[in-house]
Amino acid sequence: MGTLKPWARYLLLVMAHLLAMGLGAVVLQALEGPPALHLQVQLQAELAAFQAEHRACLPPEALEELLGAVLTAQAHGVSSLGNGSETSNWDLPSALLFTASILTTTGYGRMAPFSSGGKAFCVVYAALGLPASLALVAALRRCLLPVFSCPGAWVAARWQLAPAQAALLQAAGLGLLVACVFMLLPALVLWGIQGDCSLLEAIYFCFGSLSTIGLGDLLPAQGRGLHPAIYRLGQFALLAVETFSELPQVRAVVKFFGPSSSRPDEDRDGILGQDELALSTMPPDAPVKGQTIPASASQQTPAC
Amino acid sequence: MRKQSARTAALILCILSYLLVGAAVFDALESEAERSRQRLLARKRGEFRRKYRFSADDYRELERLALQAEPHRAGRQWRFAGSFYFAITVITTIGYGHAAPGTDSGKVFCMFYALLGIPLTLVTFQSLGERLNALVRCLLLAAKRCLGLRRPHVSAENMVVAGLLLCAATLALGAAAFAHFEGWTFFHAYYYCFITLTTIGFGDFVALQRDEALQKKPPYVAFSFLYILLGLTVIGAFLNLVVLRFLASAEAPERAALRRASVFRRGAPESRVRIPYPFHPLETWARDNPAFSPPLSPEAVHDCHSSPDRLRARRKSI
Repeated sequence: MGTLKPWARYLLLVMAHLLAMGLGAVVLQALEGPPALHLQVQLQAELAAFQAEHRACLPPEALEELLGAVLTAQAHGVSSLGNGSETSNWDLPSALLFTASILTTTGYGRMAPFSSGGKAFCVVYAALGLPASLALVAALRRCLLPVFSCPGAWVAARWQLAPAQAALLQAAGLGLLVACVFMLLPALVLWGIQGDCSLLEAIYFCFGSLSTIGLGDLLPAQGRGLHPAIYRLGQFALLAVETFSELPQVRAVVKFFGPSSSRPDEDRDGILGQDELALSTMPPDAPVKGQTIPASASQQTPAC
Repeated sequence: MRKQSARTAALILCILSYLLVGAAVFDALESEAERSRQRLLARKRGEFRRKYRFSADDYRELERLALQAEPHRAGRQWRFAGSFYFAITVITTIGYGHAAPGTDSGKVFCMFYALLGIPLTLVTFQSLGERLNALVRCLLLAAKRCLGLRRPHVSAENMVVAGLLLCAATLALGAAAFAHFEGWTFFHAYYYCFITLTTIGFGDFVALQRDEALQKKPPYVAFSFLYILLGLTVIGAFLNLVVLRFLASAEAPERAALRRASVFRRGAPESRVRIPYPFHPLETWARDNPAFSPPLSPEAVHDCHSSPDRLRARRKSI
C-alpha cells in the first residue's frame, strides 16, 4: 500500500487534469459553436452577394487566389488593409515586444518570423533565453519571499493561526494583490485610452497577457492617439512585471498540493527547507529533534 | 544578502541586454523579408485592381471578407475536438490564437477556466516531471551497474545531459511525425514543435488545421494531443532540473557561511538549547549535496563521499 499510494495520487491528479480539460471543451463548445456557425453563414451570404454583384468580371478561381495570398501574408503580420503607409512590423520597438513575448512564452502570434534565418534564430534564442528567464524568476522569488512572508508570519503570530491557515491566507492576499494591481489597473488604463474596446475586452487582454496564453485575437490598435513606441514599451513593462508575479502564486498552490500529493523527494526537501514558513515550524519540531540529539552527537564526535 | 542582491541585479541586466540583442537581430533578419513581401502584395493588389477594375471600397470589403474567412478554412473550430484543442492551448498557456472566443460569455468563461486550469496544469506537469526525473535516475543507476562500476553514482551533470538528450529526441520525433502528416518541411515541423513545447505558441504553424483534420482524422488528433501533453512533461522535467541546479549552485557560498555560524554556535555554553536550530541547515546541506551541488573543492569532494554514510546512519537511528 505504501508504494501504490503515490502512483494512485499521481493518476488521480492526471485524471483530474484530463477531466478539467474535457469539461472546458464541452462548455466552450456549447458557448462558441452556435455563434461561429452563425458567423460562417453570414460570411458565406456576404461572399455570395459579392460574387453576384461582380459575377461578370470576376472568375471564382481568381478570387480564391487572391484570398489565399492575403491570408498567407496575414499569417505573418503583413497586411495591406487600409493605406499602405502603416509602420513596419519589424522595427526596433516591435521586435523588442516580440522578443519579450518569446521570453515570457506569451507569443501573441500577430508577428511571427517568416524567413528561415529568423525561425532558426528564434529557436536558438528561446532555447537559451527561457532557462535564463526561469533562473531570473527563481532568483527574484528567493529575494521576494522573505518580504512577503513577514506580514504573513506577523498575522499568524498575532491571531495565533495554524501554519496551514497562515499559508492559505498569504496565498489569498497575494492573489488579491496581483489581481488588483496587475490586472484591474492596466485594464482600466487600457479602457480609458482605447475608446473602441469595452472593459471586458480590456480585462480579457490583460488576463491573456499575464497568464502568458496570448491568443492574439485582441491587440490594442496602433497609433490611435498615442505614440506607438511609448505604448509598446509600456506593454513590454507589463510583460516584464508578470514574470515574477505568477510564480509566488503558483508556489503557494504547489505548497498547498505538495504534502497531500506525494512523499517528499530530495528536490522538494531542498526547496521547502528554504521557505520561511517551513522554518517557522521549528518550535513544534523541537521535541522530535531533542530525542535525536544523543544519536547525532555520538555520530558527529568520531567525524571530528 | 548584499551578494544575493548583486546577483539578482546582474541577472536583470543580463536579461535586458539579451532582449535588446534579440530585438536587433530580429530587426536585421525580418525587416527585409517583410518589406519584400509587402511590395509583392502591393504589386499583386495593383494587378488585381487593374484587371477587374475594382473600386477602393469594394477592395476593402473583399479584404475584410478574406480576414473573416481565415478561422473557417480548417472546418468548424468549435465542435468537441476543436474545443478540446482550444482548451489544451489555454490551460497549457500555448495560445496559438487560431481560434478564439468571440462572445462575451465565452471570454468570461475562458478567463475563469484558465484561472483554475493553469495552476492545476503547472502542478501536474511539475509532479510528472519529478517522477520522470526519478525514473531517469533509476535507469542511469541500473545502466551503470550493468557496466560493472563498483560505486554507481548519478551526478547532476548526468541528469542534465540525459534531460537534454531526451528533449532533443522528443523534438525530433515530433518534427518527423508532423512533417509527414502536415506536409511541412522538417525544419518547419521542428520549429512548430519547439514553439509549442516551450508554450510560446505564435500560431503561424498550427497542426490539425488542414483538410478538416479535426473531424476526419481521429487517430491523428489523439496523437497530437498526447504529443503536446507528453512533450510538455519532458520539457518541464528538464527545465525543473536546470532551475534547481542554478538554485543549488547559487546557495553554496551561503551554506558555507551558515556552516561556520553553526560551528561557532555549537561551541557556546548554551549549545544544548540551540542545537536543533543549527542542525537543520547542516542536514539540509548534507541532503542536497549529492544531488545538486557540484564539488567545488577537495573538501566538498570529501564531504560528498562521506554524506551517504551519514544519511544511512541517520535513518538507522530513526
